[in-house]
Amino acid sequence: MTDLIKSRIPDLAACGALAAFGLAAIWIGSGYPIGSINRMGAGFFPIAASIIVVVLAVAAAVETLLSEPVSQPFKLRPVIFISVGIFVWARLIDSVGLIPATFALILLSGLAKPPFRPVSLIISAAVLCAAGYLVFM
Amino acid sequence: METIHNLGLGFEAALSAENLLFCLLGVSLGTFVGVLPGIGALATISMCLPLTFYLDPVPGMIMLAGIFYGAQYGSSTASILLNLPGSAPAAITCLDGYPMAQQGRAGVALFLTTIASFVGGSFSIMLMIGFAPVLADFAISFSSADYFSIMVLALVAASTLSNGSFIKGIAMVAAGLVLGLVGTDISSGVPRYTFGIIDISDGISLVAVAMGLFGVAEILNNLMQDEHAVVDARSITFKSLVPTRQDMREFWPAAGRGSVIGAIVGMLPGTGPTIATFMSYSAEKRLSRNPGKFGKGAIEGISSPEAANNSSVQAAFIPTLTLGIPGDAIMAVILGGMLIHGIAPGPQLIANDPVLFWGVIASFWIGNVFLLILNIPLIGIWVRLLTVPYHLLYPGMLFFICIGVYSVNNSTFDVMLTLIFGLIGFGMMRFGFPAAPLLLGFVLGPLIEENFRRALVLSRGNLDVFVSRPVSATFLGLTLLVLLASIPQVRGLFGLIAKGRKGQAVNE
Repeated sequence: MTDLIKSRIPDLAACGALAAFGLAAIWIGSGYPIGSINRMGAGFFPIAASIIVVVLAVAAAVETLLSEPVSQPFKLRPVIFISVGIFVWARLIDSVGLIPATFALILLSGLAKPPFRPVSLIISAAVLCAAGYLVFM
Repeated sequence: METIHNLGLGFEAALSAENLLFCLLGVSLGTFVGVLPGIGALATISMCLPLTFYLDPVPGMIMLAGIFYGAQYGSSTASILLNLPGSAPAAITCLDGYPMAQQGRAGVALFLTTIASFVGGSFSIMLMIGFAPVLADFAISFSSADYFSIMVLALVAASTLSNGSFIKGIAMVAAGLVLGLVGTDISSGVPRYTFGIIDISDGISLVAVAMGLFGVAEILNNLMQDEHAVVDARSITFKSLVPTRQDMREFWPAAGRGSVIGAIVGMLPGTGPTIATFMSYSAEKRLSRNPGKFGKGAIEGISSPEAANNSSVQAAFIPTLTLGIPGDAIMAVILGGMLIHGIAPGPQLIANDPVLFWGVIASFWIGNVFLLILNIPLIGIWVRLLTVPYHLLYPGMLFFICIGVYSVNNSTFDVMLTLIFGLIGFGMMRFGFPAAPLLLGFVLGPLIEENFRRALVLSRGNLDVFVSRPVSATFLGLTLLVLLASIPQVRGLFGLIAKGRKGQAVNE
């Protein structure tokens, strides 16, 4: 019994997160006017959709318990470097501009997957800056 | 006569230098991302969406559509050479395409999948020319209740017919609906789920959601895997492309059947190219006198699904343009792009904006001819593309995601939002929650709410309106059928419960 749950904790947590999302949406939505069936307020539809989310999140959790757990390879490194790269780009773009932001993004995200090739990354950052400037700015 | 006149109008628009250029750009970009595994048409279309805001709607639409069908041409390349689909619908092409490559017939497979794509695409374009105006005339009389029911079918079909758990699929549709409702309520002006943040007072940015779920999440997922095998680009010579006469005899009927299946599937709301390819493959296997050859390099096994793939992609424009209801997540993004341009697709579109409608259709023909040239004489270039290592590609993709999202509103908030949706999407992928239904729900959320409300206002709160109108009743009936069709899964679930109990009893 404990094994049934233990091997599926990540999957169950995912279902739990979805249910929490739905419950939060119901709770916030209950602050909006519900209205009546022939003149619906702003709250009616969001609450209805959120109830479906919660019910199906519970159903998905049951389904998880009934099926075999699957394990996939997971590496923390890409998640960290990709997140930091995008975060830094977003922080830098308005304050110091496109070129430093892009070099930071390319070099940081380049660390997500070995081998780290600083030279080719710097070249590609330079090319991308030029392309980005031409196309978007 | 009128059709010829309209087509003339369309070709006049599509053949202008600007539109030709954006058509070529779209299909080239589409082939590029189609060939590369790990970046799909959806991420690319969302990346290019901000670019089209600087363009007129006609070239913008021509380019976005070109990426979509161009990617279908390209996606078979990696399936054949690497046994790794360039995008989801091309997964089926691996089954017989890769064995052909192992037998040294990769060139023939590449050639035939391109021709099959062209046949399928052409079939649906002709269907569109003939059928779309008729459907639009018919759809003018559709009421809000009818639209509501068609959208319900689209959402249910999209989540139940895809692979994986159908409970999770519908859960994602509902979550997408909720996310789609974020922003100011159009009928009452009440801000919903905005937490006082100005950046989302008009709703969450479609580009941020799409890029996060399909761009960032896809990159993260790819980085978890080890690098794929490398191709020998020199093996694809021009001579190796030529099929034998026997190949061609097997090819034509299969491509024809695939085109028809693809067109039907593509027109239905909620069913995309992936389903079309699976259906056509199983149809070929059932029809064949020699089913044993499938999986070992059968010509029918690559021709029919590739034709179905492109046929369904072109046919998917029929409901999107004439009803304003997208059939799958990619069409939903294209629809979102049109709405941002101030074009409301629907039955009025052909009458109100004939240059756009017929121009886009004419560009499909032109684009498909471009694709023939790009994929047969120039196939060597695309094959070489597969030799570029992933660790050089993904930083560039991330850059285009960031700058693409940023350029919509010059908003760093949207870039952060993309990162958040990327992490959520990565989690969803790992735990088997499909992202495509979520995106479809996200785009359809406001539309479905509006039609639901309006239908009930008009009927004074009487719910009968959804079953008393024939069109609405038909589509709700179809929805029920789709749900019933997934009953074997429900039955399977009960079987599992019984088994689980037994297993438990043994453990105890």
